[in-house]
Amino acid sequence: MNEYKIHVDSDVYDDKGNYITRINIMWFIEEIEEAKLYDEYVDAIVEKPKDEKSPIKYNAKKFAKILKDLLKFREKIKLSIEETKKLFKDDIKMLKEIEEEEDQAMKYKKIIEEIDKRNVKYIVMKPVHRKHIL
Amino acid sequence: MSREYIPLGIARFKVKKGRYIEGYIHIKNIVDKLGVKPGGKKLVKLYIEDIGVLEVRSSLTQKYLEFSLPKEYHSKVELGREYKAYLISIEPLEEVLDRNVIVYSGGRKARVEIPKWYLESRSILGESILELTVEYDGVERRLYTRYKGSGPLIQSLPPAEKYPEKIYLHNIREYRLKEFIRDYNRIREKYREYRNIRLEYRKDKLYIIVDDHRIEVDEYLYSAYAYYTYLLLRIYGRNGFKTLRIHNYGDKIEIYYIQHSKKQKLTDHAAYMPLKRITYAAGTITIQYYDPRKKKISTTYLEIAGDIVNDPYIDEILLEEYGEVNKIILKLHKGRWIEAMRRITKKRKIYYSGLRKTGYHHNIGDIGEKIFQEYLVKKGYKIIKKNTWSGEHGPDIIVEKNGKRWVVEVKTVTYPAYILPALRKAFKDCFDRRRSSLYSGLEAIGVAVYLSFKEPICRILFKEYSNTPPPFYKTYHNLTYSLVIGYE
Repeated sequence: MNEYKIHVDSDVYDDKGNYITRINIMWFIEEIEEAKLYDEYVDAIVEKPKDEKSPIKYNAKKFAKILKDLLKFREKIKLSIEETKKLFKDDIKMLKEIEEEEDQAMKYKKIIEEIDKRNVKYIVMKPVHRKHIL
Repeated sequence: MSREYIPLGIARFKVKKGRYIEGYIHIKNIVDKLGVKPGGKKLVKLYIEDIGVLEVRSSLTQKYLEFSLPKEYHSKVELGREYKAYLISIEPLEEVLDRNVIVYSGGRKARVEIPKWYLESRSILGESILELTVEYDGVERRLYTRYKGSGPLIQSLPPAEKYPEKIYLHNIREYRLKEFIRDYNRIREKYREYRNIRLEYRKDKLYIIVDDHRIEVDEYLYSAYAYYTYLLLRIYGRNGFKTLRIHNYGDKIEIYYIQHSKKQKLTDHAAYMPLKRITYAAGTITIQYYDPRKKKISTTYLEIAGDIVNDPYIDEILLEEYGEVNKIILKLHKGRWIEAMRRITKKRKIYYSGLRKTGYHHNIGDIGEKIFQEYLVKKGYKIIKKNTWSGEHGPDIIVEKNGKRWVVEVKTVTYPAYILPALRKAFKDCFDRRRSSLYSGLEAIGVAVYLSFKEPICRILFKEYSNTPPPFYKTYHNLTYSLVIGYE
């Protein structure tokens, strides 16, 4: 039995410390890369993390804009997601992963709503070290 | 040498190419009296009235004796005038040559002086690297030197306690790269530590072969210092160029590994350290050398493209479905998968903090390429070329099977939604490659690799596109398989 830790998820909080949701940071970054939003992403960072465990702070308005752009980008590839589902219709694990990934889009919507509702200035993301046991 | 003067006849002079003065003497009637066969170069000693005694190289034909007049006599000659000429001596040039090579010796120093015409007679023209074979104290030794291409060659011999009075120069010849490689391969048999490194020169390309693994050398420099020749090999590794330097001292060889950082340019000043051991395993050349600063043996690694990785990624092929788009599901080796995930997350950290953009995706791409390459090798394809790192220019992989060749482009994703867009991207890249004349006749394979973070399982989609000659750029968009749509 091997045990290892990798930082896959991050918890999202507002500036007052209220928990919003948990997102997969690997997927988040890959989406930013695919949608070519890296410059906007760097621009949104207010406080860079010191080490692995320290949180990262974003400007809420800029962060919300990035998420909106990501959602627009997702609509463009909507058809290919459906085709992927057809291709892997017998592969239950893969379908689960696709579902999870669709959930991630709902989480983006939730974060955008929360920012608008509470008039949040900063968004804080805290890394979660999940244990994987093989 | 002393013979009676033979009257030759009348010598005339003319200007050639506006610079040289050439003399010619009509000798048709007296050729038989000269005592040498006409044809070839001769060394001739002449007496010409009002000019003096000349020693010149000349060509002798049935009709004429032709020679170019040395510069110091130019002022004495009147063009158009006829001079009486007498022959003092004539000898074939080859017989004279050996007498004219001067070897100074005695005491601690010795040197060889070879006139230019001697080198020319051995068909050594212009800048070249020469091998001299010298014999003294009953031992034959080889020396290497660089000839600049003008003037005499002056080469001092290596310092010794005492040189004998007689030194014999046996041979001078041009020393080419092919001969260097042949000699290296012959000498290395003696040295246990270099036995697994071999050089090969084919069609103007140089290869270094370590443990039967052939690596093409990107750049090389072949040159000579006093007494020895060297070959500088630049091999493209993961972190830029790595350099090996091979010395041939005639009776022994030495290999050096040149250490240099990014800031320090690779120059002749680069410090090189004696090499201890070179081995090849798992796509990596391990170089051990003695570091005089640390006073211990240090190790560096030179990662190169490997056909088969010793520790494979693929544990088991779970599914193979061939259709419009081929689908494979692979179970990965746990250890390698964990190692790969750690590597990705480490690089991702830099990206995530906004410090640097590059690195993260190259790492993912690299893993995908290696996995698919392994799959192809398992299926009996032969890897002809592979990019040493993801992001390098040129196609990712070129494979061959049954005389057919394919250009393979691999795109790796960790996000399930992007598998099909990645496949389309791979095709776009494939066709871009085939627009170049280098790969125009080849067929294409577009590959999308999906790596999961949750379990060591890898899903691959790929499609072969065999259509020669390659389509034009605009027709890519008509690549109508219904699966890849809606991504622009």
